[in-house]
Amino acid sequence: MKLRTKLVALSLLTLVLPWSAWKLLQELERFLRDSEQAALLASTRTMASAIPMEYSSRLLFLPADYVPVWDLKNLPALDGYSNDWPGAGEGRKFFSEDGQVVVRLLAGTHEGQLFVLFDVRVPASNDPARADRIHLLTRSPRGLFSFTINPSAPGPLQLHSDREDSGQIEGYWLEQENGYRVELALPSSVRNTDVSFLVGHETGAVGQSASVAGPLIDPDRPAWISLEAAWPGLSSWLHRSELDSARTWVVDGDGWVLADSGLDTVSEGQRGTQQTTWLQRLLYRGVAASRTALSEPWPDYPVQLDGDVVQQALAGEEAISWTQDLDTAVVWNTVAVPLSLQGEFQGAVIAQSTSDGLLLVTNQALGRLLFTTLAIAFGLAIGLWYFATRLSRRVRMLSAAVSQSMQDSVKPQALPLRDDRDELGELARNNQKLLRAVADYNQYLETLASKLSHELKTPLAITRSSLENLSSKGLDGESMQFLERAQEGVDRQFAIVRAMSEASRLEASIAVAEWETIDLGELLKRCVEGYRSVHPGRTLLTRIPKEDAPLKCAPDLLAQALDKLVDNAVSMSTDADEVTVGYGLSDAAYELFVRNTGSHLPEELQDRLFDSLVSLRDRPGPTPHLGLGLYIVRLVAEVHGGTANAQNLPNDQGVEFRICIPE
Amino acid sequence: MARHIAIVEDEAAIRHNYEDALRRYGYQVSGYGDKHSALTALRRRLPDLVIIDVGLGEEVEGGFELCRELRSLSRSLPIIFLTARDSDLDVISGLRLGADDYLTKEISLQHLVARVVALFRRVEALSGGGREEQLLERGALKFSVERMEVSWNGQPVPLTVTEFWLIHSLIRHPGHVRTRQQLMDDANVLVDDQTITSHIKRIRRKFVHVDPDFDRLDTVYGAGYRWKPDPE
Repeated sequence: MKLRTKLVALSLLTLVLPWSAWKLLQELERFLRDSEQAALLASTRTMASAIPMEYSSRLLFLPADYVPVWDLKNLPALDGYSNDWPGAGEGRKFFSEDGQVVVRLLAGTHEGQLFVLFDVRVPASNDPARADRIHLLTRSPRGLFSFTINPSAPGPLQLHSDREDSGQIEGYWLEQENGYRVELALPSSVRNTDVSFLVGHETGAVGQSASVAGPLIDPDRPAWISLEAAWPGLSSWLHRSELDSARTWVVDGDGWVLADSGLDTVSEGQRGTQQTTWLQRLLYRGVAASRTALSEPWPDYPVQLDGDVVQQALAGEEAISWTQDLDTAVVWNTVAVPLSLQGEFQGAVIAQSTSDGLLLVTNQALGRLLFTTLAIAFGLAIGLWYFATRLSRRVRMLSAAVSQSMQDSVKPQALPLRDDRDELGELARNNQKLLRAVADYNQYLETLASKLSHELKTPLAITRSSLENLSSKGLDGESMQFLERAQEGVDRQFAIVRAMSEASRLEASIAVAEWETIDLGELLKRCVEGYRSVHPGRTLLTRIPKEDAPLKCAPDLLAQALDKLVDNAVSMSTDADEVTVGYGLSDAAYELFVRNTGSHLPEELQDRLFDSLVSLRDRPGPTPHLGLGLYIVRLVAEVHGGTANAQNLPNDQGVEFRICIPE
Repeated sequence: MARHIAIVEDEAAIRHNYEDALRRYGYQVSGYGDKHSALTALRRRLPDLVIIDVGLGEEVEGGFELCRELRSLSRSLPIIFLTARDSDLDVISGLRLGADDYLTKEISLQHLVARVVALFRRVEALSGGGREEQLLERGALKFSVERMEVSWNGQPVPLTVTEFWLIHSLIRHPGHVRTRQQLMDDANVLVDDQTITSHIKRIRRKFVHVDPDFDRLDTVYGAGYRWKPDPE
């Protein structure tokens, strides 16, 4: 794992910060929610117990069958459409016995006028003999009226009752998919009016297949449905004793709304008109999703309340729910408290607070906390990343420079970062010292041989001249023998001294080398011819491409380097092995090579092979070996701007020494 | 009268050994240990030949300075440099100062004496001994063994004794390759390949100085050198 990756991984730990903020927020939200819910529940209980006697008794004596009459804010247009009805989609439902006909009855009043809407669902059919009709009875202090609605075609209706004095009522018949809608304006006032009706649906021959729905099964003894207007008194009482930012309803045992504290109990701000961004909503979902169901908002003026909370309350238990609007992130806290009258649950008080405040508080806190911590974490990660990148870049730079410097063992280049004041700078300075020391050591090694040879020559000359003088003194045979041995030893010492100074003399001769453009192949051929005469009995092969290989070089030096390589190859292998001399062209460079079979380089020495005074030979040869030969090869290669290297050939085929010279 | 040889060498043991050896061959020898004493004595009376060590005690290049001074005293005094140093640069500087030969201390006493004898012979020949000359001719090359003189196209080529013997070795069998070892043996020098190479280079340069088109001295890479025979 790289340094940078490690530090970045470490910086991920800072993500604990936003995570803990998140947890904290959830706690906060739960706390806020609990307190709000407790307050709402307490107020609702109080309200449930404080409903005026008048209304509680009325609740107790509600007619068995009634349809609530909704107070219409606007005069509904008689067009069959239900969009001007507030509780559209709700209303009292009646079913035929076979369940095929479903009738929804809505009643509403506007300025004393009574409106009813029948929404009838019948099975879809294209039967031309289909016949639909509605038989409606009204009972009021003005009398009993009977209407039969059986139009020949959809459209506006003008109906007369069976009584002369009833006048006409207006209405509208609208065909729609799966049924029809009939909207009627009744002359009677709301108060004390009962209705009864029968919706008939026939298909095929008359009377053959009829479905009927409605309470008016038996015309002689109709079952009456009371039209029970909402209780404005209770509504205003609710309104007066309004709960904090909560809207309250009183519902009867079926969930029909009897009283409604009204829309205006909830201020605009609390109705969720404040804009929340999708991000805030998303965040809030994240915080409270497990405790908040998504739901559609309740209609502005519900006719009948439904849902788990209401059902639970009507069953006699207090209930609490939290729901959130799908789109606006408004949160409703709904509390339902059963109304218990004379030991029976007759209804419930429902309170719903719009907890946009909670959301906002939560959101604001959430936003600040989360964004701050996230920003901190992010900033930290970025900072750490930058730091780590820089650190790792510096380390890499230093490492590259050190390894680069190590290649040039004599003149190490200045390392980067030496002037930095941190630990890396110190490391760089220490490395520089180390490299300097190594370079000095290398230089010492490289000059050691020539210095030594120089120093050794004088005492050797003394020994030799003395021995020679001695030999002219007419010694006896035995003494001469000793003298000859001594002279032999001196000769060998001179040979060693010469070999030692060869490298330094080569350096000097490099300065005066003659450069010319020659054909490399030709040079190699001639050299190898020479080697063949020097090493008779050895197999010397050439591998020289046919093409001309013009090369500007110092042929003397190159030949000398080749001498060393061939000498090396010959002495490292046996007479049975082959030595191959040749060159190849690759990447705008000539690769001169000398290969020999039958030997192997130890891996660990390959880098140092071309250094001064490094020798691999374990068997002593007839001539001294100081490990300068390959050093000379390296010098020659470097003079030509190239490199020298050695490697084992694959499959143990031997050893290859190469000199790469750029074209 | 015995010829007088002066040896200037700071290392007493070597000096004495050389003195003894040369005396054994019948020369009159005086040895000096430093530049100053040598110069004082030699100014009084010039010897017939001087052997100088390049490094004289503290003076690293004292021998070169001495050579320069002696050359100013006499144009014809034969001077041999003898030194432990053997870099090309030293050789070139020594020869440029007018030394007649340049030998390293590895040389055996016999070789040294042979060199001295050769130099005297050349001096003698130059001073007009009038003896029968043994002349070798290889085309444009005229080679006088007695006088140790070489000329190319009639122009003399100034060669040191060592160089003379190298050429001599090469032209005896024109076209044949002489290895460096053979050349060393013939020229009575015990040096290494590298020194032979620089000798040959210097010889070639001297010929080229006389004739820019000179190309007879051929390098046979990996083997040695040969004198290219005249084109038929």
